Amino acid sequence: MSPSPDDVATTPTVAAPAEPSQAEDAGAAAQAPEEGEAPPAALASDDKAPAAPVKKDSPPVQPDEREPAPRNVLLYTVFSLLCMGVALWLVFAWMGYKEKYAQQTEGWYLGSTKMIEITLIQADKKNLSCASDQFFGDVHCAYHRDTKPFGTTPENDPHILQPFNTVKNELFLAAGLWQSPVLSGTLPTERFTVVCNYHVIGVLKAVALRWSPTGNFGPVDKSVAVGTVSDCVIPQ
Amino acid sequence: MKLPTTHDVKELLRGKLAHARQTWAAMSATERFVTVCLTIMVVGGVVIRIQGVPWPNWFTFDEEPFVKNAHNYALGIPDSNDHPPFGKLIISVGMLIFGYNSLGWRFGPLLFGLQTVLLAYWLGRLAFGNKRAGLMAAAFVAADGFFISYSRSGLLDGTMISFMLWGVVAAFAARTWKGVIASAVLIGLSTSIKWSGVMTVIPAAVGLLVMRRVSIFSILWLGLVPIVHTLVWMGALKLTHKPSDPAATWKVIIDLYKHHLDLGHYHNDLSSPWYGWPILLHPVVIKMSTSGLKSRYSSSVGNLILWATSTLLVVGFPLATTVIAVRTRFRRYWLTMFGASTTRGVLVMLVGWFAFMAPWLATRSTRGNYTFSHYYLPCYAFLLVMIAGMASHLERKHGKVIAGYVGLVLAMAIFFAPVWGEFAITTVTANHRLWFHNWRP
Repeated sequence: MSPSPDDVATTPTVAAPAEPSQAEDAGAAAQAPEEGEAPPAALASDDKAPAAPVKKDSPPVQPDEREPAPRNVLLYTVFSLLCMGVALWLVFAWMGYKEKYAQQTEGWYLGSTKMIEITLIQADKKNLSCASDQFFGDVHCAYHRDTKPFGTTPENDPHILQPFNTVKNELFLAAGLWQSPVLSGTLPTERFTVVCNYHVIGVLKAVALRWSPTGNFGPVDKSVAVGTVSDCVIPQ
Repeated sequence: MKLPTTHDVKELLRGKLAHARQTWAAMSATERFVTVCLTIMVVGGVVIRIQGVPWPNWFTFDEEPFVKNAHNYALGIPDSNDHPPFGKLIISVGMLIFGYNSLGWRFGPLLFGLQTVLLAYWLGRLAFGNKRAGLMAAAFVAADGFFISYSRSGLLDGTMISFMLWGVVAAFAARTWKGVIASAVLIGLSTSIKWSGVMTVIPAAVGLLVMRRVSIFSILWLGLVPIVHTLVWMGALKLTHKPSDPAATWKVIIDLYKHHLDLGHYHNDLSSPWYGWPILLHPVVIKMSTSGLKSRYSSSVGNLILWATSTLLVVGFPLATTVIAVRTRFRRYWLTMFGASTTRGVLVMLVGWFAFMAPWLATRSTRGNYTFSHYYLPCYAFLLVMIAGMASHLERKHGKVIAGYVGLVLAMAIFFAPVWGEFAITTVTANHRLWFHNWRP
């Protein structure tokens, strides 16, 4: 590649003498110049160093062609950072990202309906259970507080609560998920998410949860919203 | 000082364009192919970093403690995180611009992630003395998932790397003691993001020695690094209405140091020992979100072509250099291949690699296995610049080999882009790229 016109203009015309002991060393660097003088990177240009005696039969040493270093590199980097910052800000402002990704501030409160996104796998039908004696109308957990079963399961009873986490890691109890039309057929074999409307009908304080059919129930140390889900869809 | 007029700017741009045309015309077909590949990598790397960066709009991986403490700075509430304050202050600036949302807290790391690409260019150009090395270094950093993933999340490491490279670039560019001070300030800022940033002093000092532009005593200005670090910390304490005199600041630093020594007692499933980093034992998926049947991944698995090359060179290059140092008759053959200048640049980059590995080798007795693959990020940055320097040198004689290599790097980047840039893909598609169990979330 040909050097830039700027580089040519700044290339020193006088090469520094290479030290005799390093004459064979194609990268032999010259003595350090005074501060603020011409760049020694160029001084170290070995192709400009006096030719060293070369032994017969030895392959030619490839010269190092160092381009002279530009001045004001730090200014360029600061300027480019500012330009990139402004450009990014313009791009995001133009795309309306601020509004699109602004944090939702709606809370969970009794009687509210909230859109939630839940991550599921097929086995969650059986994996997830709660234990509590509390009833919310017909809605209740699959197990009593002493972990004895009520006798019905979430797969076939739309009133049985199960614990779930939203994709934002918010814990809640919901009933009626598996009766949703979108989940009544063949389910995906991989992990998937569903988006549903969640109607908050109450709050459970003392509840124990289980995340696998063979696991133990563990108490939860916080209040958990209780509700039913409807209008579920799998986002495409 | 006279400000440039519109005419001056137009003339400058016209000159640059003419020069670019001239350069292109002077290139061989192979060089043109490599240039096109490198350009695609840089442009693609920039686009992949920016697109969809605010998704998901909730915390992923370790974002929560950093973002919440960054928010604390904006509110004037004390920071309870176990890292120095500067990285969180940068995150808080993003939130001041865009608000307390996922774009706000990822804006700073994204901006400095892009700056890293540019700094890789400058480091390659300065360390190896040619623009081609700079372009290759920028392209390699741009097209590597390790850097892409940390540019897309509200974490500290990507920003720390940016200041680290900036400090080394300043050292390589320094012509007077003022340049060394600029380097010290930038390294001090890097250290004020994560303490490991202080190791930048070593490659910076070696760079100053190699470039021989400043007096050897000027290197002592690098001693300003701890002062810059302390000043930043004092400012942060003042911002949060905590005692900010030097004694109180020193106490905060010492307490945090003791806390870090104690981290070896903790366990984390994502941790990996130092010897696992060069062989990609446990790269972390640092962002993941599922929507419907598809998921979005941002894995920190690197570009496998570059990764394999870097690991092989870390072992091979010092061995070869030792051999030619001991058996001087091999030197001539070695110099035929690489030249002394390239060899020097490579060795400086290896010093950078080792400087950032050394703390984890030295503290293994206290930290145990509580170390993570992202500690390798600064080491890897030096290695990519090193590969760029070697490739640009070899291109002069072995253009076709380098063209093939660069083509492979680009192909690998295109193949892995979906799991670096959070494209919506199925688990099966992701697993075609995240080959091993340890690579998966």
